[in-house]
Amino acid sequence: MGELIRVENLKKYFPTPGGMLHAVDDVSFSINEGETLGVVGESGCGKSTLGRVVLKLIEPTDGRIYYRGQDITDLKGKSFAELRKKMQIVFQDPYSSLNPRLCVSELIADPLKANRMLDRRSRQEKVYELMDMVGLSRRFAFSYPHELDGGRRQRIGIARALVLDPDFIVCDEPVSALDVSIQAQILNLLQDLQQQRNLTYIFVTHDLSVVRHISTNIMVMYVGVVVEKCEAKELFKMPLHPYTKGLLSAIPIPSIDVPRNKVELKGELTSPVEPKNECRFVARCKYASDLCRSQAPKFEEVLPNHFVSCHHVKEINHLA
Amino acid sequence: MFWKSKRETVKSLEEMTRRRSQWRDVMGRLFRNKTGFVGLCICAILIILVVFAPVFTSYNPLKQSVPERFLYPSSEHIFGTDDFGRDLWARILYGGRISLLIAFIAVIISTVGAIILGSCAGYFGGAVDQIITRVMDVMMSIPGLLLAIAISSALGAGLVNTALAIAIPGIAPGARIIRSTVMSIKDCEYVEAAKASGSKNFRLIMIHIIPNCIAPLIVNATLSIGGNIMAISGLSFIGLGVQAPTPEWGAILSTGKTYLRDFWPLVFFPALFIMLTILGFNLFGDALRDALDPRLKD
Repeated sequence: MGELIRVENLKKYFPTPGGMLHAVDDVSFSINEGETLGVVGESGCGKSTLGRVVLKLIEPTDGRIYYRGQDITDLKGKSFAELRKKMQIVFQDPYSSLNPRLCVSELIADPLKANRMLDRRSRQEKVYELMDMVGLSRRFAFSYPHELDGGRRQRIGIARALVLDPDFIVCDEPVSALDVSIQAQILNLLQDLQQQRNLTYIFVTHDLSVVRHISTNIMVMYVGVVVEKCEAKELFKMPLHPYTKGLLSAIPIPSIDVPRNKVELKGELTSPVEPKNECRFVARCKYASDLCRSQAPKFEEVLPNHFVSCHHVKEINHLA
Repeated sequence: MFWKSKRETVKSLEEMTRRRSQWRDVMGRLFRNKTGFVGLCICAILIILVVFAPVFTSYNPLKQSVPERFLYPSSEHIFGTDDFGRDLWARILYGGRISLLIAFIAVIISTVGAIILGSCAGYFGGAVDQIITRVMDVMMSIPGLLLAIAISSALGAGLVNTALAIAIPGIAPGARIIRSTVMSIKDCEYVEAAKASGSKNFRLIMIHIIPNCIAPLIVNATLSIGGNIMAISGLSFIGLGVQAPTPEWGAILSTGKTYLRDFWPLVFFPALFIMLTILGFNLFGDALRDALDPRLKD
């Protein structure tokens, strides 16, 4: 399977009164076709911004984005409109991401109308086909989103993302606004669709158990930078970055017998506005040294296919 | 076999729901709303009275008769007569044609103008917003009636010109309301979703933004109908707008002002009709706003 999306040195800065806010700072990754890249991190670490910049919903400040080897960073007009059909997004909040004045079938058909595809009849057929596919009963075709529950609304959002037959979807926390029981349904739906249609996902979330369930690779972000990236299994077995260790030890284990050695994360997030040339995690890291305060660490391959951005990764983990 | 029959019932259900059009939903909700229905009735009665004026009166609204001036309401002249002995009921019916027509045309012009300017300013922001907003500020700094007088004297009298003169000062406040509503709506996720699925600016504004700012739009439009009728009378009063012998509610009212102490019908009846118009349209507008919002479906 070939590479579908590649991102190189992607940066997105927002101007604020206090200076430039580095929402995404020098992020590089690639995703193979049919795989899922999980992006985790706490609120405000730039993971949603990353998803939107990859789709070019927000213009990147710097860096390049490739789709099937083609540079799409500066693509505009018609050729970009074609490409946009291949790259879609599922939003976090199924309440605010659906236009309250459109009924379900209008919502799902909207992307087709916007691109002037198909006539009325075949559009409606396509809508029904998608409603079946995402498990939304056809009797809701003319209901309005406010009449439906969160799970059904999210199914509408997924159907809308699929209607243009994309092969790449950014899922921006698609389950974090839902009940736990519905979360599982939606996750299974997303996985089934991925298998049926060979979809590639970027799965943005702050829920570690969700990301483990669905991802091929996982990328951990902290204040705009990637601190660790490796295969999903490996990340849970052998986290190398002190931040990842802290995150993983925060996952609750439903048993009182398991001895827990918690790695607690203390202190506040570093401000992403005009960051200094230092490790972004330095304020909360118990291994922080003078080197960490004077120089930002490089994002390096420490083990095969396991990238970490930390000066002291080898000492901390007793690696050769 | 069982499976097949079940499948067919599902299909007929689809057909049924397909028939349930949005328009019928809106009408249903409109008629269920009691105050809205009252408003609709007031508007309908007024429009019927005015359009079919010759059916409801046999008097000529222009025919003067000096011996019959200042008559109080009686069975012959149900609203009495004015300072030239003209039948007031006839003058109000015929006058309503002009008042309502101009007020309507002006509301449509100013609402369309406000939508275009307001949504452009709110949606595009930046330099476009700055230019439009500053021009609106300039327009709002001139008193509405003064601006209307200026436009009216530049364009001359006449129905469409008067409507334009009244509509243009109304654009600025409407555009401001729409601008602020558009600004809050354009950051909604569903607008971003539509953008992600390839909608262009024009489609985004027309399908996803404007329908969601309909509530303040309708309130603004129905409220300005009353103001427009008063503005027409203002223009008529100084000789612009509707010319002297032609009956018009505002003009009758301002004539009546002179005789307020001694002869009340000349003020009371035109004012009553203006009030009824404003009341009717406001009630109707409120109901329409609710009916057009699918979230308030009962």
